[in-house]
Amino acid sequence: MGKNKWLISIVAVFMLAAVVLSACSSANNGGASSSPPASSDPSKPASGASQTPSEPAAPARTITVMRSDTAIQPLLKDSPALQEIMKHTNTKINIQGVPESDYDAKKNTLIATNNIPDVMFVKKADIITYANTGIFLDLTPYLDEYAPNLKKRIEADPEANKLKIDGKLYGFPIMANKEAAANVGNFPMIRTDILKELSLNAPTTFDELYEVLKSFKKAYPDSYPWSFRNGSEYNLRFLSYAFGGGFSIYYEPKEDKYIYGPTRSEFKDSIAFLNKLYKEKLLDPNFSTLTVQQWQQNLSSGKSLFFYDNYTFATNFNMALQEVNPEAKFDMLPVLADMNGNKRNYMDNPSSFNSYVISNKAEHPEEIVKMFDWMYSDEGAEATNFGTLGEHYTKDGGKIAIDSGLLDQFKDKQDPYRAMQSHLGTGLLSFAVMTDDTPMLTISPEQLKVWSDTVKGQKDQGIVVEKPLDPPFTDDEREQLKQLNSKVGTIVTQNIDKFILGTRPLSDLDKFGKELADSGATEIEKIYNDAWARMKS
Amino acid sequence: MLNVGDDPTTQAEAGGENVLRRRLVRSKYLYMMFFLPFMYFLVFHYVPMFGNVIAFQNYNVVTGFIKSPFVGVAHFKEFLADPYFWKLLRNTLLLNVYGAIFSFPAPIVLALLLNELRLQLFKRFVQSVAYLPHFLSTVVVSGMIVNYLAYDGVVNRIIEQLGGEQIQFMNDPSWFRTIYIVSDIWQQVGWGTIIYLAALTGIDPQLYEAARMDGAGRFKQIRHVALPGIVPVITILFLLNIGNFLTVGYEKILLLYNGSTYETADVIQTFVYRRGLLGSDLSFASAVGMFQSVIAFILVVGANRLTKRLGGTALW
Amino acid sequence: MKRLNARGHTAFDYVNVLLMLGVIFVMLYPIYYMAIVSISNGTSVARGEVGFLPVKITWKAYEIIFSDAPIVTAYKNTIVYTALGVFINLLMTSLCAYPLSRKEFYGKTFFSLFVVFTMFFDGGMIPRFLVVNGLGMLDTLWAIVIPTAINVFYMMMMRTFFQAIPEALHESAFIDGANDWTVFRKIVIPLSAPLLATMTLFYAVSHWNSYFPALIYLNDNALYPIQIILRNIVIQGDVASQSTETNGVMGTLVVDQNIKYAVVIIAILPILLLYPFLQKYFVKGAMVGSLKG
Repeated sequence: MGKNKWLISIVAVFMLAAVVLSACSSANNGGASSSPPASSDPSKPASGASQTPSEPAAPARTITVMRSDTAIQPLLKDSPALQEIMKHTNTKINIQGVPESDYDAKKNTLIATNNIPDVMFVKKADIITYANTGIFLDLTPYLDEYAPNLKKRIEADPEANKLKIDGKLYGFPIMANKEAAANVGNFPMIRTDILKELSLNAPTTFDELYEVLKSFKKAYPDSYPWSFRNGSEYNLRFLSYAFGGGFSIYYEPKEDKYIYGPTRSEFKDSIAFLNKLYKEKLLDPNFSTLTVQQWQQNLSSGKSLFFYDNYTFATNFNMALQEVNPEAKFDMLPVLADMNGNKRNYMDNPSSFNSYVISNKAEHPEEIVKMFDWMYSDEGAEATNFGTLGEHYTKDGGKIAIDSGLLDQFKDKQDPYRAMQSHLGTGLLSFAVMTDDTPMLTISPEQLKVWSDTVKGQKDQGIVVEKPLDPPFTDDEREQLKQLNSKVGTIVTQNIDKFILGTRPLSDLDKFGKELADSGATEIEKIYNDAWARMKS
Repeated sequence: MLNVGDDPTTQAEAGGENVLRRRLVRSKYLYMMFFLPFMYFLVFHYVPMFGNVIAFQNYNVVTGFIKSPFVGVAHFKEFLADPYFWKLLRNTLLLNVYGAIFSFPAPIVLALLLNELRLQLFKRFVQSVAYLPHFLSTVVVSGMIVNYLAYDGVVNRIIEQLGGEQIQFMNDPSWFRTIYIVSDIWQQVGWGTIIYLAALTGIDPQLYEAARMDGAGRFKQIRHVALPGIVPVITILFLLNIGNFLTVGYEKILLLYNGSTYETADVIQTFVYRRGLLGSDLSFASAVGMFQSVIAFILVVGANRLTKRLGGTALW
Repeated sequence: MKRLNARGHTAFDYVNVLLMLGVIFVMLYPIYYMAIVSISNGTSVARGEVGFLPVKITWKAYEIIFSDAPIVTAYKNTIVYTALGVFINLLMTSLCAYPLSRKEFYGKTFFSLFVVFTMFFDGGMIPRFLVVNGLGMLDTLWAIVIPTAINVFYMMMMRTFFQAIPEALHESAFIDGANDWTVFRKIVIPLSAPLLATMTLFYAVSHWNSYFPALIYLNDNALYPIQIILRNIVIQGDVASQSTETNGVMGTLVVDQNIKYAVVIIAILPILLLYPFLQKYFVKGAMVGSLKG
């Protein structure tokens, strides 16, 4: 019968395809999670010096490194940076990229089934959650002998100590070279061309900002001058700090202790301000649900004229705006003063403090520690940030200069900076533990450097501070915090927007603060302060 | 229910054992056919079921299933004693009940209407277009919803034109369920018609002829010929749907909800997710999952018994 | 007798057609919108200028996507997984559904419950991972096509269809000396064309859209199916993306909208072409002739 024959031939084709594909894949497959070391040479002298190249006679060891792979800066298997690592530490890196969008799911599954690769990228929260299970290698015993460069870096940036669990270090923290770091954070950015057009002075306080936004709205009634992304909680984290208070649990420098922001009266100012803006249609009415895409669209099309967020976005907005209106421009305002005349703002700590962990099942972990230590050295940091010396960059008396031929190669790309990093295999999104923003500042528009310096200037004045990490907690405290945070957090989330929208009157804010305190905010404060006291002593 | 080999005289003569052997032999080929699927379920579903034991443990990833400390029903007590949990349960059930009332019949109605279209080409075109939304990922659809329902979005602009007041759809808890159900119907109705249309093609055209002879109009034809023809499919699908009553696709809710709509939008899965448990506290998540499964199973057993009693098809 | 016009159409028909036109518009517009955005100029899209027509038509978005070699490999992978997967699905599901549809299958109730039970009680991702790992299927295509061999939902639908086949057909075959297997092969399957077409469509779509098993079981990037790569592009920078950090460098990783939508179009196009191809099997009264004679 015709049909049967057709069916059989289809089956045959599929089976053939299946066989061929599985044969191909087993040829490519270098082994699922932990790769057996090609060789290990225990007789090799333990090197305290970071720059000893390995003896060419010893065969290289391959380790698998798993990390997230973004669509914008894809990971390449054999990039110059990885070749440098091979050259200097005799370690071949088999980089395994997992799509960033689903990285957590994969990471959690591998952890849950005790199947993690030799080296894996994890976030701070993962170290806290899993350290005590023993799945990550405790690095502390190896530090003195094999990781002098890392120790130096930690001494230079003591925040890193907050990553230790019960005094032990479980991962190689990703830190930034502070001198060469871009100073990024959420700052007020306004359409200065419109200020000029309406002959307005740049606002220096939040009250003045309100007046300016009102004028903007009058001149452009179809606009929503201030647009948010990621909802109110994300924005309140830094806005309420700028208003003299804080959102959820935060460190209050005036009192040298941790406070649950919404229980205090300073928090009220920020909410009242947003409520006022919303009522007068100065704040985008879709603030709680605006997607990043729409937010960008609003700011790139002139629908919104002010944002208080990561300033690096402004270069994209300016580019889009200037296609139609060459005068249009977003520029940074200095930090605004709150209702009491005080100025303060957070900036991001250039060190992300995420980490690379070593699996407790990895063989000869000291060799992996040595390799990482090289990456913390000046030589290693350069290689993993700039590429090959002489070919991709030059050093002139300590100053790094990126090769201009290299820059030209990428200047017409969608995102020149990321395209270059991807090609070289360098930077935060590739495999590096000591990051340097020189390439970004070199290839990005001049504006970025100007803003970065402005932030630094304010930081030197003490107006801008890096957001501190949480102090380390005990197991018990962590368990309690998990439950408390979800309980109190739910109440907060449920009510914040209501206050801004006006569905719940502002006069209720004190009652709200008390609700929070009663349902666990006070306990949260106590736990944080106890941990903080422990750390200080 | 008389089977070919169930001759009562044979039964009386040979006695119980012989009958059993007969029936087994009778089904010989069927057993052979069922063997592979049986092994599949055993290996990939029943063996992993032992993993549910972590609901009763404090699972530690390194010590694994066998050696992690046993805590009995501690996790169950934890969420059952939490009053917020019952609110979540209510939201979950309500969303599913509305789904049963609106989302479930929608593809049936559309399928019946599509079946009535005369022009084959037009019918095929509508079908192909109707199921397009099914292929969009939740992320894309949620982005669309947020866009259309924005304060100054398409829907509100239409409302304004008609003289009404703009509505803050996404921040109003009373709108959430409607938005969820309507967008669900938009996304799934076309896809849902496929199975019903396939069932409708199996109906003997002579039955339609007979009905027309008896003077039945279009609606009567649908009611007395088309609809009964697909009742078995409808029943089975409905029973299977009941099995999902305790779960709701949380990814979509995660993308559509926000603090203001928690009281109607927050469901069990989103709460568990927020507590960061889907990643780290596996035991708790497993306990919640087990609770949902047990309740859902009880519901289906009840419904199955009901349909059997009513003389219709059943799951078993 | 209802009022008919010259072609035999009633008021019902007109209303129905109008309704269908409405359906078409509602379903089609959002996708049409995505298609025109995907061929519009990037910065125009950023300014929100696209309404009913594309602005400054350019295929740049598609160029960018396809210039990326992993995508082409991933496309190939998905096609293989889908084809092989569907074959296994059809085979296993029908082998499961047919016995359960036969009244004389001894233990039918028990086995039906055995199967349905798995819909409710699942050990979860971790034990299944351990099983797959234990069988040595990790990082191979078998981990993609075997653990999902039978979908109980679909299997139940198949069973329902098989049950609808008139018993008389079986009877006459048994009298002629056929056994269950022969009846299955030579009578039931050929009569189930609409059913098999439906199942092919369902399973094919399921494989095409699947990303989670591949994410969990595969480590070698060369084996990735298309959805994994596409998801990464579409979700990048979205609020609810579980792993998006919004600070510093990571906060500005946002993919342009025209590229995202181009990705969505690419992802759904092939599978859309499958249905019209299968539509010829959805023929009315496919079984009717068999009863006569």
